[in-house]
Amino acid sequence: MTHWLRAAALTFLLPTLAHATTELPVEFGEMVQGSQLVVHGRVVDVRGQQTSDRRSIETLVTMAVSDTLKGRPADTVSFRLPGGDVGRYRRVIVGVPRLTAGDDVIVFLRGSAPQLPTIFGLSQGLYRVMRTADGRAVVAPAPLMAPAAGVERIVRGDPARQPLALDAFAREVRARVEVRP
Amino acid sequence: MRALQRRYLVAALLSGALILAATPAWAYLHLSVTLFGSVKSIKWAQSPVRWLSSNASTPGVSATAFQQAAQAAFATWEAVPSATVAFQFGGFTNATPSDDGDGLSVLGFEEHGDLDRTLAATGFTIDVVSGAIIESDIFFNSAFAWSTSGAANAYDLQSVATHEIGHFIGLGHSALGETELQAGGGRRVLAASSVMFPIAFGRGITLDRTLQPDDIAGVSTLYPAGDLAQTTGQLQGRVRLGGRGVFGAHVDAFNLRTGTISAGFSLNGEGEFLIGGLEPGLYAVRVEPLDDASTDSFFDDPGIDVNFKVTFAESLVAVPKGGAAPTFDVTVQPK
Amino acid sequence: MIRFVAVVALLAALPASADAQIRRRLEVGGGASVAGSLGLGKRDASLMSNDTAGSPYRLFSSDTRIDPAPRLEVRLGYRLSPRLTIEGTLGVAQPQLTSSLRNDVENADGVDSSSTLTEYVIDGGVLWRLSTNKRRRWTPFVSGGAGVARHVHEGQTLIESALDTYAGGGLLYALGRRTGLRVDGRVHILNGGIAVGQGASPRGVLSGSFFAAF
Repeated sequence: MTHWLRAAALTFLLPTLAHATTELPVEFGEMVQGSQLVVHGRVVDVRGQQTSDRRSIETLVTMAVSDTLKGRPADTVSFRLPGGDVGRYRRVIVGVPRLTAGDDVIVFLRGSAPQLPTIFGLSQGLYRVMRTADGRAVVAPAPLMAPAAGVERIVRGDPARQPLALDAFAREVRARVEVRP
Repeated sequence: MRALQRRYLVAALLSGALILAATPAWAYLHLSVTLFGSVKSIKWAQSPVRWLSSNASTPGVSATAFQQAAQAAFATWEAVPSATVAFQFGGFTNATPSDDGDGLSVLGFEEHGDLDRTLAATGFTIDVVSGAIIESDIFFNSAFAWSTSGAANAYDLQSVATHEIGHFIGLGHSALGETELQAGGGRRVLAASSVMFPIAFGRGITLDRTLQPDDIAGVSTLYPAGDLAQTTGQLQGRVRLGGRGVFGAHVDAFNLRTGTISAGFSLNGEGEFLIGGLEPGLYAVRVEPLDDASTDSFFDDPGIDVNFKVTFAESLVAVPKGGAAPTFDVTVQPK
Repeated sequence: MIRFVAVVALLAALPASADAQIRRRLEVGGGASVAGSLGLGKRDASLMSNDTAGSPYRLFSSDTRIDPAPRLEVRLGYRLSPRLTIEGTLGVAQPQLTSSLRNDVENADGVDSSSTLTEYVIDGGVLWRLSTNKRRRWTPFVSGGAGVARHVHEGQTLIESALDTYAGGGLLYALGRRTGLRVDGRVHILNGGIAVGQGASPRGVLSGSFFAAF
C-alpha cells in the first residue's frame, strides 16, 4: 500500500534542523576498518525517494568522486540516507546529516549489495572539506584517533587537534586501510 | 481524493500542527524548521501528544515491559513543573516506527543491524505545505542488548527512551559532557550533565532516567508553564574571535550558588547566544569549541567554527527574575 | 531577637550615676570605612560521572568573594544610659564581586571573573561604653547588632538581600562637649543572599567617623 502521495512538487528550502540520536561513537581507525568504501568528492545530486518496501522515505545521494581512499575506484558513487522529501512530505530522522549539491565531502560508506551503502554511524562517517583563508583544503572535524595504549581524555580546545589538510587526512585513512586488526 | 489522502490530512489536523510562533533562532538548541524563510521550532501544538507502543519485543524486554519503561520516560518529561508538555498512551500496535505516513507516533524495537552504532533514533514526518507534524516515531535498535532493570550487560531502556523522547518533543542535543578515547578503539563518556548529551552512558547505568537542569531549561523554554517568563531569566551575548562572530560555540552558564549548569550555542554569524529558563542569580560563563563532535549531529550548517580555546567570560552575569541580563561579549582566542 | 531586646531594655533601665547624667542623648555621625574581603564560598561546576553513583566530575572550580572597598557610613544613635547607646547605621559601597575560576578540565586559562555591586548595609545594634570617666577623652566601647545587606548587581538586574550580623569594638575620642571622633573595627557575617555557601567567611570592617551629640 502506498503511503506517500502524488502531490504537487512543491519544494521548500530544507529546514535548519539540529540533528540527534543516541549513538555509540566510533574511533577513527574502527571506522576505516568498518567501511567498505571511503571516497572524497563533490555531491552532484540529492533526491528523495520511497524505500524499496514503500514504507518510508530515503534520500539518494550521488557524488562525483575525486579520490578513492578505500575500496574500488569509481567516477561516481551513490549512497542512501534515511529520511528525505517526497512531494509535500518530509521525513526527518534526527541524527542524519543533510547534504546538498555542491558539498565537498569525504564519506565512509558501509553496506552490502544489492542495497546501496549508507554513511557509517549516520553522521560519524561524514567529513567536510573546507578552504582556509589561504586556500588550503582541510577536513573537518579533526578525526579522533585512539591512543597507542591506555586511555586519552578528549580535551576540547586542544591546540594539537586541528582539522587535517586534505592530503594528510587521506594518508591517515590509507595507513589504517593497510593495517589489519 | 483517495482514502489515504483523507486519512493523512485528518491525521495532520489531529496530530498537532507545527507551531509557527516567533521563536528566536538563537534559543536553546531546539529542533527547527525553515518555513517560508523563517526558522521555527518544531513543537507539538496539541496536548496531550498521543503515542503508541509496538508489539515488538527483544530478549530480556517484553512488549509490556517496553511500554512501561517508555511510559515512565514520558512521565519524567511531563512532571517538569515549569513546562506544560503532556502525553497520552494510545495502546499497543502492530505498526512499527519505520511505518512512515501511517499518521501514528510509534515507539518500539526494530532490527537495524546496518546501524550498529545507533542505539535509537527519532524521526518526524512533516507536511511542509501545512507545517503539520504528521507523526513522530522512535525506534530502539534490537541489535543491542536492552534492560529495564539496570542489568550490567545491557543498555538501560528507560534512560535511552528519556533521551529520545526529548527529541520527540523537539529538543536537540546538548554538549554538556566529557569523553575519552581508548586504545584499540572506542570512545567512552567520562561524565555528562544532560540527558540530551548524544553519547549514551555505559551499559547498566541508569543515570539518564533523571532530567538535569539543562534538560529542564530546554523543555521549559519550548513548552513554558504560565509563569515561567516571570520566575526565570535569560542571559545573552556574543562569542567573538578576531572581531567577528563565532558560529556554533558551546556556551556554559554556571550558577555560582546552586551549582547547576545550563548551556546553549551561538547560532548565527554574529556569534549570538541566548540561554533561557535560568534560575535568577549570579552566573559564570564559559565558552568552548565543539571540536570533539560530529557537528553534523548538532547543526545543519557545516560552517561551525571550532578553532578557538576554551575561555571564561571576564564578567560575572547577574540573571534577573523575569528578564534578561545585559548583553555581553566573550572574546576567544584561536588555538 | 526577643532576648536581645530584653537585654537592651534591662541595660537601659540601670540607674545612671549622678556624675554621668546624660544631657545629649541623640548622636549623629558620618564617616568612611574599609571593608575587607568577604569570602562568599566555593563551588565546583560538576558533571555526573559515568558510574552507577553518578559521582561528581569537576569541570572547573569557583571561589567567590567581595573585594575590599571603601564605604560611606552615616549613623544615628540614641543614648539610653551613660553606657548604653542604641544605634542604626547605613553604609554604601561599590565593591567588586569576583569569582576565581580555576582548575578547568579543558585547560582554560584561569580568570578572576567579576562584576560591580552596589552594597547597602542597614544595621541596628548597641554600643556599650566600657568607661564613663569624663576626665578621659578616650572611651573604649564594644558593639554588636544585625541588619540587612542588600546587593544590587550591575544594571540593577538582580537584587539580593542577606542577613548581616556584626560584633566589634573601638574608641570614642571627645573633641568637645558635643563632638567627637569614633574609630571602630567590626567583624561582619553574611548569611543568605549573595553568599554561595560552602565556606562563606567573616569580613572585617575598619571605620572612622565624626559624631555630634544633641
